[in-house]
Amino acid sequence: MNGRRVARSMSAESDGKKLRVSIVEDDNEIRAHLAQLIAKAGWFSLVSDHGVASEAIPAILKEAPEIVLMDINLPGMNGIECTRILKQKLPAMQILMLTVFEDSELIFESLKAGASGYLLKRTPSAKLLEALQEVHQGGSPMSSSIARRVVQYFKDDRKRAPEIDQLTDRERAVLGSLARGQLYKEIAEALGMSIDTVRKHLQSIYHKLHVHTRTEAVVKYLGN
Amino acid sequence: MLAILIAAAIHATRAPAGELPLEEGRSTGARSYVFKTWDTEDGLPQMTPTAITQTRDGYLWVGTYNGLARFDGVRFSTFTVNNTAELISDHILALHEDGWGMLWIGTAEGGLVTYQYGRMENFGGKKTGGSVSVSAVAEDENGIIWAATSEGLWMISKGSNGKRMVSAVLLPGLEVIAVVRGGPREIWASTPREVYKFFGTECIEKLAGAGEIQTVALDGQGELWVSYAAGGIGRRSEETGRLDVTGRTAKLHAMHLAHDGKLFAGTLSGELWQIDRGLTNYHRSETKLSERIVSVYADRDANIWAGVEAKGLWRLRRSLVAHLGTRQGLLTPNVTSLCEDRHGRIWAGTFGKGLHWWDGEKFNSIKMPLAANITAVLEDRLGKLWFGTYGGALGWREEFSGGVVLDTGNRYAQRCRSLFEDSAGGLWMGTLNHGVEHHYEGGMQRFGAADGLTDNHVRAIAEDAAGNVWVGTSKGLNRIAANGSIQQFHVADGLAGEQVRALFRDTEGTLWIGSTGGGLTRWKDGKLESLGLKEGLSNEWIEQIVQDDHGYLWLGSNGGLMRVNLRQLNDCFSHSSPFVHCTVFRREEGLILPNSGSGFQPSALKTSDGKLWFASDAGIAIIDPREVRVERKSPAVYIEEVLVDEQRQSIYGESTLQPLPAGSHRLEFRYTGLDSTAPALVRFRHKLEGFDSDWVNAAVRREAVYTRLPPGEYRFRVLAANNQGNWNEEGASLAFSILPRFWQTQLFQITAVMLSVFFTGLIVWGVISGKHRRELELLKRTHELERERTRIAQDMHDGLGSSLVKISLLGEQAERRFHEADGAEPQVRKMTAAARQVVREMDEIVWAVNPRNDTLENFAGYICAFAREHFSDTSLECHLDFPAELPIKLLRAEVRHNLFLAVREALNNVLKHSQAQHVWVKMDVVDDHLVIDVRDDGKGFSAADHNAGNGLGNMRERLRHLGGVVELAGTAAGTNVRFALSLK
Repeated sequence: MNGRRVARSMSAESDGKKLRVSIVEDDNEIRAHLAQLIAKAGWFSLVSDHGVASEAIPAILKEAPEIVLMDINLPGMNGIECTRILKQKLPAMQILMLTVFEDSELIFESLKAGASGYLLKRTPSAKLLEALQEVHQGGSPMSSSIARRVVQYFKDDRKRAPEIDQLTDRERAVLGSLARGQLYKEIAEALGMSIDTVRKHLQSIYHKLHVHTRTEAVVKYLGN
Repeated sequence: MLAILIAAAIHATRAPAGELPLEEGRSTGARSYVFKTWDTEDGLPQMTPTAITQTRDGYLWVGTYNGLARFDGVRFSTFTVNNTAELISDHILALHEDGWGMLWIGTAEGGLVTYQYGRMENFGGKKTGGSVSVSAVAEDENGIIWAATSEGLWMISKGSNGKRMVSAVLLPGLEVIAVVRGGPREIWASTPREVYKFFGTECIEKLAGAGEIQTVALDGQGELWVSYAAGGIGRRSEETGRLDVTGRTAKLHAMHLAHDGKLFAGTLSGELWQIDRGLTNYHRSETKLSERIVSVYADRDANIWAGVEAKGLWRLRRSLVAHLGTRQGLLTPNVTSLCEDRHGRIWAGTFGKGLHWWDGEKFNSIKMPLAANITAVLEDRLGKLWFGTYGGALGWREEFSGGVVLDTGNRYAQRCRSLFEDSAGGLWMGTLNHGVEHHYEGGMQRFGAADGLTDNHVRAIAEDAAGNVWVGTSKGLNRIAANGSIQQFHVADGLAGEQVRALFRDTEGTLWIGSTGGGLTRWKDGKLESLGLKEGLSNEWIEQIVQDDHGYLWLGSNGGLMRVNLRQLNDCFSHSSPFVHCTVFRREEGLILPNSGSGFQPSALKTSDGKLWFASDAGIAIIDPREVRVERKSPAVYIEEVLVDEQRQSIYGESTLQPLPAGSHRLEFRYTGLDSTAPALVRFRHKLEGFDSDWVNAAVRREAVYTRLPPGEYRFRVLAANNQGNWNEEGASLAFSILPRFWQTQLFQITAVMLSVFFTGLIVWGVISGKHRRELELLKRTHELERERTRIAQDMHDGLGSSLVKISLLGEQAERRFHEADGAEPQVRKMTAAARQVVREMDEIVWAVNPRNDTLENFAGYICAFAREHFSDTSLECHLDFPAELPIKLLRAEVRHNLFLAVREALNNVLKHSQAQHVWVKMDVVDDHLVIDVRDDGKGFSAADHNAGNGLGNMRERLRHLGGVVELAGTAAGTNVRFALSLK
C-alpha cells in the first residue's frame, strides 16, 4: 500500500511532450502492471503511483499530472471522494476511473465528482492506452448506460439550474441518441454533424455535469 | 422485356362463390390460376383497394378510398374516420411496414398515420399532417422512413426523445408521387415531371420524364422503371443515364417489388405483368382481368393480390388441381369411370358420349351409337378392356383391331354401375337393380336380394385379403365368401352409413368403406369402425377412395377432396390419437366441385406416374400428390376480441383481462389463425382452462361462446392448424377471472348467522391462521431466498467454475512448456482470454444479484452495454434503439436475470447462426409491456432451425416462466425475435 514516488528523470524533462500520468490503485499487482504498461508506452511518462487516497492527494496536487488513473474502490477514502477533491483544486486535470464491474451507479457518481470517463479493469492493454490518449485529446467517452443516467440527471435542469449549466438542445439531442444506444458515427449521421462535433458536445456535457454538481452542492450548502 | 404473367377474365361479373379457376392456354393448360375476389359484401370497406401490404404478423392490410381494413383471409376489421380518431382521412394512398413492424399509412389530405401494437397514431399530430397527402412510403437500410408527400419528400428519423420526426424535407414545395429504396443510402423519388436520385440527402441524379409520370419502381436488379399517366413505360438506361421509352404503350397504374425480387405491375386495361429484363416467360393470354388494376402486391406465399377499380380485392394463385373437360376433347364433362391400361392410356367412360381415351395431350372419343352411357371401364389381367353400359350391355375392346365388341345378349343384367376383377380373374358387375353378377371362366352367378344380399342396387365392389368379395349397396354392406355365403353389415355393426359408395383395399390389406353420411369406415381384424366430422374429417359424404404413394388416403367427397394420413387414421381408430387431420382441396386449389360424385366404379385412379385422377360430372380433376407443398409453418394465432355480455373488449396483444364483474353471463371469444394459402381452411381447437376438461374441436369456427360461467379463475386457449395439419401448439391464450356473486342473499344470510354464532370461534381461528400465515410467509421467503441462492450457486458453478478450471489447466500446461523451445505463449494467451471471460461472467452475476439494479432503467443500460461489447470485435454492425427515458419500474432480480439470459441467447444466435451484417436491438415500453426486439438481416430463420440447437426453446421457457412471450418472425430478409413481458 505504499506510495512510490518516481523521481522525475532527465528524460521526462527532455521529452516534455509526453503525457504525465499518475495511478491510484490499491492492488499491488494491478498497480505494478499499469505502471509498467504506462512507463513502457512511448506516449506517456509515469509520474507517480499510489495505493491510498491520503497519500495520493497531496502528491498529485503537487505534481499536477495531465491524467490520473483512479480506482473506484480504494480503502479508506474511496476513489470518488478522492476525485472530487483533486478536481476542485485542479479542474484541468483529467481523471479516468478504473473499475472491475460495470456498476453504473458508482461510475455515474464518479462522473459527477469530475471524472472524465471510466475503464473496466479487464480492458486489454492496447485499448487502455488508446483510451488514455483519447481522454487527453479532449475525448470524453460516454457509454449508453451512463448517458441514460445523465439524461435523468439533467431532466429538470431548466427549472433549477442557472443558465450556464443547462444543456443546449443540440447537447440534449446528442445525449438522447447516445442514451438510446447509438454509436458516435450513427449520431453524427442522424444529426448531420461530424464525429468530432459529437465529441465536443459530450465534453461539454461532462463539463456541465461537473459544474451542475458543484452548483447543486453550493445551493444545498447555502440552503442549509 | 416485359413479360405478361397472367391475364385472364372473369366470366361472370362476380362469381357467386367469389372464385373461379381459369384455364391458361389450350390443351396443356389444365393447370391454371385460381381467382378469388372479395368486396364490400365480404366486409371490404369500399370497392377500390388503393394499397395492399402484408405485415409480419401475417395480416393483410388493404387501403381503399373509404377506409382501411385488416384482413385475416376470412374477416375484415375496418378502420375509418368514424371509428378511429387518429385517422383524418379515409382515402388511403400508401401502406408500408417498416423494419420494426410499424405500419405506415399514407392518406390523401390526412398526412401519415402509424399503427403498432394495436394502436393508431397520427404522425406529427393533426396540425402538421393535416392537409398533406402521402402517396408512397419507403424505408432505407438505416431505418430512415421516406415519405412522398404533396409538399415534398420527407425524411423521417428518430429524434433525441426517441420519437420519429421529419428531420429534413427534400424537394420542398414539390408534389412527390413516388419514393423507392435504391442501393445503400440511395433513395429514388419522383414528381409528376422528374425522377430524382438521392444519396443520403444529396441529389445525385435527375431524370426528366417523357410525359406525366404515374409511378416509378426498381426491379430486383436495381433497374429503374417509369410508367406514364398517358401510357407508355420508360426504363433508365445505364449507358445514357436517361429514361428510354420502351415502345410499350400500356398504362401501368401500380408496380410492386415482391420479396423475391420480382417486379409486378397492373395495367389499366386489366393485365397483370411481371416486369423483367429478358424476354423470358412471355406468354399472352386471350383473356384479361377485365378491369382497371390500381394496386398490386405479392405476399410471402406467392399469392398475387390486386386492387381492381370498383371491383374489390382479387387474389390470384396457381392452382394445384388440374382440370380436364370439354376443352381437352371430352365430348361431355360427365365422366363416370376411369382406368389406365397397360400402355399407359387413360380410359374415361362418359354418361351420354361414350368412351374416351387420353393420349397425354387430349382426349380421343370412340363412337358407339348403341352404348352412349358408359358407366364403368376396367382392364383385366389379360389386357382386355371391359366397359359396362347403362343400357344393359357389357362390352370389351379387341386389342388387335382396336374394335369394340358389345354383347347385348340377355345373359347380362341391366344397367351396370360398377366393374371389379377379383384375384382369381373373375369379373364382377354391380347393377342398378339386379344385384351383382360374378362372371368366371365358363359361368356366371348372380347374387341378389333374394339370395341374401342387403339390396339389389350395387355401387361398390372390393376384395379383402382373405379372398372374400365385398359388395356395397344402397342399403348396407355384404361380404361374399368363396363358397357363396353372404354376411350382411349395417350401421348397427359399425358401418358409417347405409348407402355405401366406395370400397377400397389399401396396400396393407385394410378395407376402407365410404358411404353417404357418417364418414369413413374401416374393416380390420374382424370389425367395422367409423369416424367422421368429430374426429376431424371435413365431410362425411365419401364417394371415392384412393391411396397415393406417400401414405395418404384421398377421399372424394361432395365438398372437395380430402387427404388423410393412413397412419394417423389407424392411430385414431386405435385411440392413440383423438383426431385425424385432413387436408382439404376445394375451389381455392382449383377444384371444380361436382354436382354429385360419379356414383360409379372405378371412378378414382392412381396412374402409373403417381398422379391421382378423380372422375365427376364436372370433368376430371388431376392432382399430383408430390406437388402438395409441404409446409412446416403453422398459423399465427391471435385472440382478437372478447365480448362480455355483448360488450366489446379489445385485447390485442394482452394476455390477461381485467377481472370480470360478478354475474357476467355470456362470454364470446373471437380469434383468428393467419395462413395466406388457405385462410378459410384454418382449423382451431380451444379449451377454457377451469371449465373444459379437454380440447374442443372447433373446426373452422372463429369464435367460442361460454355462458353462465361460475366465479373462478380461467384461461382461454386456442390452437390453430393450417390446411396441411401443422398445429401451432403454443397458440394464444387469455387469462381472466370472474368475481364471485356477493348478492347471493341466502348464502349471505347464512354467513351472517354463522358469523354471529361462531364469532368467538372465528377469533380463535383468526389467531391461529394468523400464526399460520406468518409461518407460511416465512417459509415462502426462505424458499425464495433458497431458490435465489441455488441459482447463484448454479451460475457460479457453470460459468466461473468451468472457466477457472480451464485457467488452472492452461497454467499447468504453460508451466510444463515454459522451458521448451516453442514456449508457452499460446497457453498463456488462452489463459488471458479465459480470465477476461471470468471477469465478464462475474460481472453478469454481480449485476444480477445486486438489488440496487432491480430497475427497468438499469436493465436497459446493462443490455445496451452488453450488446455493444458482444459485437465489438465482430464484423457485425450493432444498432441499438432504446428509449432515452424509461418509466420507473421495479424489475425483480429473477425477471431481470432470466430476461437478460434470453436476450443474450438471441444475440448469440445472431452472432453464431445468422450470417447477418447488421443487428438491431430495440426496446420499447408500450402499455405497461416491455418489448425487446432483436432483428438481423441474416439468412433468416427456417423452420428446420426450430429444432436446432439455437436455444429457442430455452428462450421460450425463460419468458414463459416470467409470464411473457417470445415471438419469432423469420423471412428471407432476416429474423426478428421479440420478447414481450408485462410490467404490471
